[in-house]
Amino acid sequence: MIRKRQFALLLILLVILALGFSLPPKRKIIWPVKFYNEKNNPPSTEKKELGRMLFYDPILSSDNTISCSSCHLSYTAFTHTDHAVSHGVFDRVGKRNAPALFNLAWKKNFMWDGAIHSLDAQAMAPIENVLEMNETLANVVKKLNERKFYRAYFFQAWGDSLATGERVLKSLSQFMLSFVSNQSKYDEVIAGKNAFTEQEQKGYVLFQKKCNACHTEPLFTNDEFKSNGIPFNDTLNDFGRGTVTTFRQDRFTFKVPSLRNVEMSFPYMHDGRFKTLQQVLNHYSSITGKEENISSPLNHSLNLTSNDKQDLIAFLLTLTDQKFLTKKDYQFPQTLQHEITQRSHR
Amino acid sequence: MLVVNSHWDHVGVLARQESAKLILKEIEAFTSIQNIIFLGDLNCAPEDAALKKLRAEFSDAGIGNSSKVGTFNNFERAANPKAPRIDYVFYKLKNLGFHSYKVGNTDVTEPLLSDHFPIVVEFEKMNSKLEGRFQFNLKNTPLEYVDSLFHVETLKCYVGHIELLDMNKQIIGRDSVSYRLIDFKKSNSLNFSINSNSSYASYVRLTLGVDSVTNAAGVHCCALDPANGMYWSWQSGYIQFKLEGKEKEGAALNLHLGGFSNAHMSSITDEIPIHRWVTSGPLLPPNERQQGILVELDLSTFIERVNANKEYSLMSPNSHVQEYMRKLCASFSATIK
Repeated sequence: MIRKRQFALLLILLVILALGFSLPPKRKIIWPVKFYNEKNNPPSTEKKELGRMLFYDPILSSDNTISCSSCHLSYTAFTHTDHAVSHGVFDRVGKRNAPALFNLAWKKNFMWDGAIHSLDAQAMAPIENVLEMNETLANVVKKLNERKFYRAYFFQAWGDSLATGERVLKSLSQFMLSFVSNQSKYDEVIAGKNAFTEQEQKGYVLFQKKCNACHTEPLFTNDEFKSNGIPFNDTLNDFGRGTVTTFRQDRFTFKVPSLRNVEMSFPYMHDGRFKTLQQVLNHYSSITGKEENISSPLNHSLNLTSNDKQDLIAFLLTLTDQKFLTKKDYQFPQTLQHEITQRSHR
Repeated sequence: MLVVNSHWDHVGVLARQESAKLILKEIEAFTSIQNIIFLGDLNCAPEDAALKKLRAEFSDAGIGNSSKVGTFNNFERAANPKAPRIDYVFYKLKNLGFHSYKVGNTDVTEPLLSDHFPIVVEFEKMNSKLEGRFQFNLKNTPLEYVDSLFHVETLKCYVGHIELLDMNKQIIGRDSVSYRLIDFKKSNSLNFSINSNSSYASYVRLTLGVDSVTNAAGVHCCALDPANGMYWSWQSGYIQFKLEGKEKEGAALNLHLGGFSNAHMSSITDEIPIHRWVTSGPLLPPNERQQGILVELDLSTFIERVNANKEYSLMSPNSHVQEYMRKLCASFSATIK
């Protein structure tokens, strides 16, 4: 009896799935549940505003020159456009391409290698990296507590004017959590409020067939670590996820990046080796599937014709979210300008 | 309370074994009695087969270092190092607590009045107050000693979920904060009090290192504020134990033990028995006694292992970390102070 019922359920499920697949793009895409636990950091406008100040304040770096926004610019989806790798204090050059920042509440871990498991712990990495901000969190806290400017912000956000490491990090999280990109042309089409061009539509069909396994809708990433077969860069000696887990099977794997706003986040790959989307697609057409640890959907070339590539690029450009890129709330807070100028005149 | 005293045969192995059986059988009849003490000149070494059965049901009051002190002097000089231990006090208690054990008069120089030393054992009413004052310290390996091996700049660890347990391992006191950052260079981090419902503590339960659930939840406040420098920034997770400085040849010493994900879980929870052996001096009446708990960490086995491995720089979770953490956790001891 139970078996019969299970069979019936399976049948219904199959019918629903079949219907879903036969329908053209106007299908419902459900966003997954957020991974970030808001209970540990209940959202508030005041914390977000404090986080915004901190995000734009170079006080976070050892020589007070580099802020988060130095490498994560709001106009380019919080990435460092046209920089293969970024430069930190004293023009020191980093080792990896600065990732774009958005839809962070849906991410299980952070960085190209996933070494950071919590968004609240994330900001410590660039602050304490000698090639980036070269500072210590303890000293950031000390410097902030010396600035009268911040007392009111901390008081409004945390009910206490004292800066602490936890408060700095969680306020930064709140600002970063507000970076939600879900208003691209693609999103409008999915919601039935816009339509793809013929070329974009062809590209979307191709995308679902060839790319969606890893760059899964609607986040355009499955948030996993994969190797896409790009040759090992022996000047950087970067083993990616393998260095973190020490497992052999993780060598040369990196976090699958979201393709939302991909138009703005060039150059591509963890080391920024490809300047254009065309180059990226050329790579996917040239792989053999024999590369070490290459992930299973890529065990053969994607075999894209030059028309396919153009169609795919047309689709990928529909993932650009102009509203997100130009949102005033994300930009430099003018109130901070006076504070920074005053500080440098001392 | 039932107190049973006996004097066993000093020759017959079998006779002693049968004595143990007989005593246990006799005691069995007193089912309604809560507290039973069995003591006497049992004329056998601690590992004697006759005591095995007794130990299954009773606790030996002579535990830890105190068990090594002899009780039979044979009318020879008092502090005879070869004096064997043949006198015992065993107990099985419900509403009394074992407080202390002492072999007395071992330093007497005058003519001995007995060929046995007296044993003084104290029991207390369960609700006699224990203040719950804690002091953490290094044992056998004071900071100066560790400093002579390494030039120590930092010696810190996280200790959390501190609880006092009674002899049935029921919780009778709990620290008001979840974690403490024990900094062996800062005395104010080593001394604190925890509220106990004034019952009798037999164990301290503690977690060495930040547990995985707390770690996975991200960053926290107070002792766990990442600004305290006990958090990895290149790879997230709290540093459970940190020893920094220079080793003898001047090379940097950086031991940061941590890791919390499945394969690299490094925090350890353990129950440390509170030893109540009064080491010297007269026994003070209970109301004059300072009752605090001294938790001591003996770093010697840890340092031995580090030196054997010649591993002076360790900054990421690996299998060695778990071994070191186990060694460290097993090196805690607790006594009434």
